[in-house]
Amino acid sequence: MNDTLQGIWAISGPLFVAIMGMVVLVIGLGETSPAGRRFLPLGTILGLVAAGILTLVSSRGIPNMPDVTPARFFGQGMLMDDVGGWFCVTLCLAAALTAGMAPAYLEEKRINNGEFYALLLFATCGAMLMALANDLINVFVGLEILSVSLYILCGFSRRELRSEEAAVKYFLLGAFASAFFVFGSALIYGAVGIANRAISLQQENVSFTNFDIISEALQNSARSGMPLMSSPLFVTGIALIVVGLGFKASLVPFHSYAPDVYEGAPTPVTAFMSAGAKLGAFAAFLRLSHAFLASDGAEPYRLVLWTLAAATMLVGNVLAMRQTNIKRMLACSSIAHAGYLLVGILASSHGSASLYATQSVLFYLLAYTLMNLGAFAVIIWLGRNGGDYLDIRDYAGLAKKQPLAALTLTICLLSLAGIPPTAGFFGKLYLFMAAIRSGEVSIAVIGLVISAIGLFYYLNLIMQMYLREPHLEFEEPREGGAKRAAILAAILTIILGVAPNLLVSPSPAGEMNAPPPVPMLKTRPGENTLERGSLPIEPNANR
Amino acid sequence: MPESLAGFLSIPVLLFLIFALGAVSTAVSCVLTPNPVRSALFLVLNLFCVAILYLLLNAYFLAVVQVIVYAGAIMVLFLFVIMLLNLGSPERIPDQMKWQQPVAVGAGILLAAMLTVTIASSVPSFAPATSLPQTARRTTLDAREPGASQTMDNSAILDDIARRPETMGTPYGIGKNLYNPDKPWLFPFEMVSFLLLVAVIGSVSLAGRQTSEEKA
Amino acid sequence: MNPAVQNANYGALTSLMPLGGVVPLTWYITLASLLFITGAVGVLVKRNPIVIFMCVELMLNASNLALIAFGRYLGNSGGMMFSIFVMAVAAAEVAVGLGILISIFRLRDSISVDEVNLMRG
Repeated sequence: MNDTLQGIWAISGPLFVAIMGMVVLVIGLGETSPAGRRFLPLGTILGLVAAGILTLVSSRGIPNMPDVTPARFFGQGMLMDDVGGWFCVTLCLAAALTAGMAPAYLEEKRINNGEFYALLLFATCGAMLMALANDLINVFVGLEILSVSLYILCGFSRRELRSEEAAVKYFLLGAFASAFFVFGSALIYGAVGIANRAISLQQENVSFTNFDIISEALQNSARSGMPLMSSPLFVTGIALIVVGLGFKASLVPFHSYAPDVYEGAPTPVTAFMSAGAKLGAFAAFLRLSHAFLASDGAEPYRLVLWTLAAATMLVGNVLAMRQTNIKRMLACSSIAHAGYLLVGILASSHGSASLYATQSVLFYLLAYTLMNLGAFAVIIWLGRNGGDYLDIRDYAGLAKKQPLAALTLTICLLSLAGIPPTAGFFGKLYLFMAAIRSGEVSIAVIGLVISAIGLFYYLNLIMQMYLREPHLEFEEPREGGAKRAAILAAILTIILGVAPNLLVSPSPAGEMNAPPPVPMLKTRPGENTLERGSLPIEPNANR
Repeated sequence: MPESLAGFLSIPVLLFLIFALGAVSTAVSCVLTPNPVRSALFLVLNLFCVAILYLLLNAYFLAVVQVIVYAGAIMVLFLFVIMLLNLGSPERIPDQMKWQQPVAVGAGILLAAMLTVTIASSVPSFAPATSLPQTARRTTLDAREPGASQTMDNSAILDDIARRPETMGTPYGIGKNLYNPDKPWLFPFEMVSFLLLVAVIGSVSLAGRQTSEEKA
Repeated sequence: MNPAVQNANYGALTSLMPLGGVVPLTWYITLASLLFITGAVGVLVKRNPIVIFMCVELMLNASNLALIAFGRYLGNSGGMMFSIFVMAVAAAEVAVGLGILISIFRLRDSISVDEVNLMRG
């Protein structure tokens, strides 16, 4: 029982978010007046802030028992570590910014009800569960909570055909991807079980989908001469899981839905999707890569990641150049950013630079969340009743009409492009540094070249705003929460860009052997959660 | 070689062959038939065949759940929506799409052959797990004598049911494993309740009537 | 149970024949992958979203078969547990998916994936 309580404390963040979801749902059903519903986003944001603080506290261990904290909970199925804590806090931030920018937009569409905020909170909870999962079964359940909430949110604007079509498209492809994930899990389950059986390990009471067990089986099987990495069963399983997660993260061969779905969904939902779904999928990717740390034969996995990363960066940027709709452009740019993140994931599968690479991925995800949500918030901010300004040409001369909005959007775009005084610059710097440290120099060079291509379309939009003559008046912008969310995101982007050391203290670029940066959530002494392969694991402990 | 033939064609093998053939043929028919209603009915047959295979694998509870929940409830929902939306008419394939179908089927067969050969070659042959050695020395179902006192051993016997591969699939075995807080399945089970809540919210808010506020 | 058979060795042809009247694990996994591929091809070939979704159910069903077969042969309860979750998730997806389809049908009379193309690019 004590173990269960400890587990509940450790993952109190996601549980609190889910409970807030239910509270908001019930309040939203009872409160029918539009005026009363204005409190829903406020309650949502307060709940998310509380959940973020809870996560920060609980990721530092159980009170009064600092040293005997088990890192795994619920039958080894969940874990709470600094990486998971960072993901949870970033997710809370993404959801809070979304809840902040949404109300005016939703009110115009007359869908500002409790269900929206409840689903937003449930989706956040699902992604947080993915980030804290230590077992494929929990990854799967978290993935489904996230995806099902997002399917509904995509189609939330019921009277708009585009929204419904986006929902159908996202739903069918998402369900298809989930099936791949499940079959991949089944194959991994079988392969790990067979490997354990071959060296006569105990079969009972062990979950073969547990990341610790997979990592252990990889090492043991390599030692006994029948490496799991050479088992076609296991390799196929990993490939299918990469396909399943790749859909959620919109990696390149599986990205085709992204522009359509991002364009069709209500703008606040698009904003959350672009950050939340990616955060969840990349958390699972990161855990998977860490499971490979200790094993030698991970080359096929790395080759696949290398190819996916290169293709995703290239196709995302090339597609983005062709877009004339700003939502589609941001959708394509988010594909490209998934490619940059994959570079970090690839680097993190190398033992030598794993910690640094993991931290760079975490930093980039935070930066990406801020700059992307900031850009979407500006779109909502400028919109008016009856339609948003979605064509890129609409933004001509924005700086003359709405200088503050233009400045905010410029900061977000510069950050997305990776130009110095912003968070995006350091994010990319850390990612490519991590790739170089881990020996993946080729992908770092490719990434640099491709992100130079990416400059083109971001700067094109900035030039539109500052150099062209306005032909639109931008009367009656929505402002409100969207304005506050956008400005907050832009300020945080700048702060992270000016002083990244606040959260991450990077070593100078020249010192290759310097200790890696330490994330905000300091690792507890005696527990290096990243090198899980070296932890003494007692999977058969039957309490 | 009558002996090896007898070894080959035991009743489980025969049942497997019959229902595996049934499962594959209904799955292929489900994909190939142009009529959605027939697709749904073929899928029901497929689920039924697979349920029989679950029985062969000693997964009794799941076999029943498969028939009642999947074939019963979910497929009825499918048929209901097909009828409601009047989608029962065979689908028309646009001319420019006609070449896609054989290409996709051909690619599918190629992929199926590759995947199947890869997987089949890497799955070793071994007999299904039987009762575990360490349970043999304890009071087990086998060792239980007709006249022995039942009250004393009951919990040990029931624990044994949950542990033995042959009886793991009974409702008791499932419950004992699923609701054990020391195993990793209790937590996702609780989390699935959130998923079902999300599904309820979703189906109400998507398919429900428009509120007066929305119409205004 | 022949002890020699119990030694796992990848790529053994013996795995393809039933021994002692027992169905080999390979057969179950082969069947599961065939069903999975059939479903996947169905998703790619079909145009009617409901039928596409039925093909996804076929794929999930194949995964369940693989999980249960692995679990039974390895004597591990995890396979059955995982498949329970897959079933629960499938039920939730069906509820939401059919809700979305009904909702889009309210707005237009035909739902075919190819016709879902207001947006292109």
